Amino acid sequence: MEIVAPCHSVDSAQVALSASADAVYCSGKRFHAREFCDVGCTLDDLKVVRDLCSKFVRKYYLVFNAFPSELDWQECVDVLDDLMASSPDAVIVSSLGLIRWIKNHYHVPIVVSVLAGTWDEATVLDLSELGASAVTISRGARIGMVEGHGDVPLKTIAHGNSCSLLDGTCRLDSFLGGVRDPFTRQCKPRLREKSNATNPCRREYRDRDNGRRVIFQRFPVQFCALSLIPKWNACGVKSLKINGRTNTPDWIRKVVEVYREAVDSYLESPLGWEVKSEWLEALRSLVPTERLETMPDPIWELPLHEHH
Amino acid sequence: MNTISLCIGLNSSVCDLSFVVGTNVTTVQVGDLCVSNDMDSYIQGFLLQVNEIDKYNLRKALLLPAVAPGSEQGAIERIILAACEAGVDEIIANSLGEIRTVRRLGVEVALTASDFVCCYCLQDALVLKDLGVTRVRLSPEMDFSHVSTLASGTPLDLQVIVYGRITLGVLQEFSRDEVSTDCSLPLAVCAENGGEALFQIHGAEIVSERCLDLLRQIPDFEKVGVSDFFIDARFLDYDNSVRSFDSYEKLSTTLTRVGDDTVKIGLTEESEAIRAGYSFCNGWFHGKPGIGVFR
Repeated sequence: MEIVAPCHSVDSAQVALSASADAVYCSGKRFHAREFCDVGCTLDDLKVVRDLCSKFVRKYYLVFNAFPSELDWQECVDVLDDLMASSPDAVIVSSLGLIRWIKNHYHVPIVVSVLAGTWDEATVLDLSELGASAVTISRGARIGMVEGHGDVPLKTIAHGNSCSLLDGTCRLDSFLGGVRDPFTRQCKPRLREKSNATNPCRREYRDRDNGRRVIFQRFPVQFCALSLIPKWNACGVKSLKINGRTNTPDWIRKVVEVYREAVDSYLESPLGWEVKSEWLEALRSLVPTERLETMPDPIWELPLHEHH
Repeated sequence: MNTISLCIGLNSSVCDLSFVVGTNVTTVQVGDLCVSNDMDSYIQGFLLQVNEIDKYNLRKALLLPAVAPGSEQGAIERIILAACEAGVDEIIANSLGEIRTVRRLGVEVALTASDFVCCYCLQDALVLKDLGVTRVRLSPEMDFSHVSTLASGTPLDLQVIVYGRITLGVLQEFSRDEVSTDCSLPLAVCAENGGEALFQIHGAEIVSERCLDLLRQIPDFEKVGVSDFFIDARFLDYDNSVRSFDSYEKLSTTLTRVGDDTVKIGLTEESEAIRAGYSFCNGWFHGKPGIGVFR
């Protein structure tokens, strides 16, 4: 079971690989979901990341997961062509058009991003037929919905930011913040607004009629799904992705270390495997002002623990 | 007279369609994005509506749910088969999986990709065409320049949402429990410091409080080759729906006088200036009318 770590620089890639991540994912400057946070790498940096991964015998995934419009399609494919010089082991995309384009023009595996909104096995199979080598299932997908995915390798978000809306359906940021090409179908945190509180689904609202507080999600901003490792393994999920390219190298290192130990211990001895308290403590230490809950199993199907 | 196609989407509680008589509606869409009751009741509900539509000799379209009870694959199949047996002419799918299911069942029905399916460029449209889709309902995140550019080369029919509350997202299950606790739905939500309501929560669906109104821009869309429009009346009451039609009735009557210098329709100079960079669904919140005026 692969652990895929985020990185936004050569330093963070070095840290993630040293912490024993099996792969890192990073982007160029354009056409990815964190474009407005300035977390993209230059082509030269991507090549260094590529070299680091080769040295560690690990993988490097290029993130290119925005949805280009017809207006910026030509720029999009030009940028992609430049970035392919970094020789990624796979490209992470969301757009149907890009899946086909990459399949027809390059010999590189395609991983479908969580932003494509894959909620069921039929979508997994369709994406596979389109050319995807692996599919990241939506954070809202029930485990039972993807069991019939056949041989298509599945990836899932195992740790990091949660989202109140079904992946692929969120327009809150477009509604409140205006269009910003390219489309990403999720929040677009801007460089100066890295706080999660600014994301529309994490703000507090009021019931207009009685003034009561309304929040879209009561549990903490970051979730941890360590307890689901056995279930995911049983369903054929081959890759656990850690969200958070905007996080510090220290954060990345600690999270990767915890998941490395957890996955390795499970694979070595699955019977009676449990989430260790020291793992949760290590992860909680990264978010001192927010509680980090390990979600019950299955992640989206049971009532939440009381948070407030 | 223009030959536009106008589809109106209704919620499951609307059973009297007499208000469409005399309007330019060609298609009525039934079905909900999220199904909260049991599947049998849901299917019975839209079948009643289908029977009603038949009285007016209109095309029938079914919006498949994005989320069904248990979200099991079997639920979507049941809905599709029941709809086709009832003579539905068009199915509107929200995901590749639903598109695939319609194809796999081999039913003879027109297939439309909803605004939640990825279609922002020609390459996306070509993929959808190969999957059996014949029409795409465009996302309100787009702006006029996106639509006109896409319209110029697409092999698919394009449909633009021209009136109604914009769907801003579908809540995850855990979030639905949270927002519905101690609150009666639909819930009008404003910012923390009060003020006007921003959006409403209807079960699992978040929709804009105000209605997008692009009725006056229909001639502009026609000029770029789009002649298929959608009014989302699922969260409007009867009166609001009728008012939509009233305004469109006046517009369609006016369109027959295009060319008359005394008739000015389409974009005004002011809206031309602010057209660029404003998606339809952003037309209101920044305080500028944009191209999509929220009413």
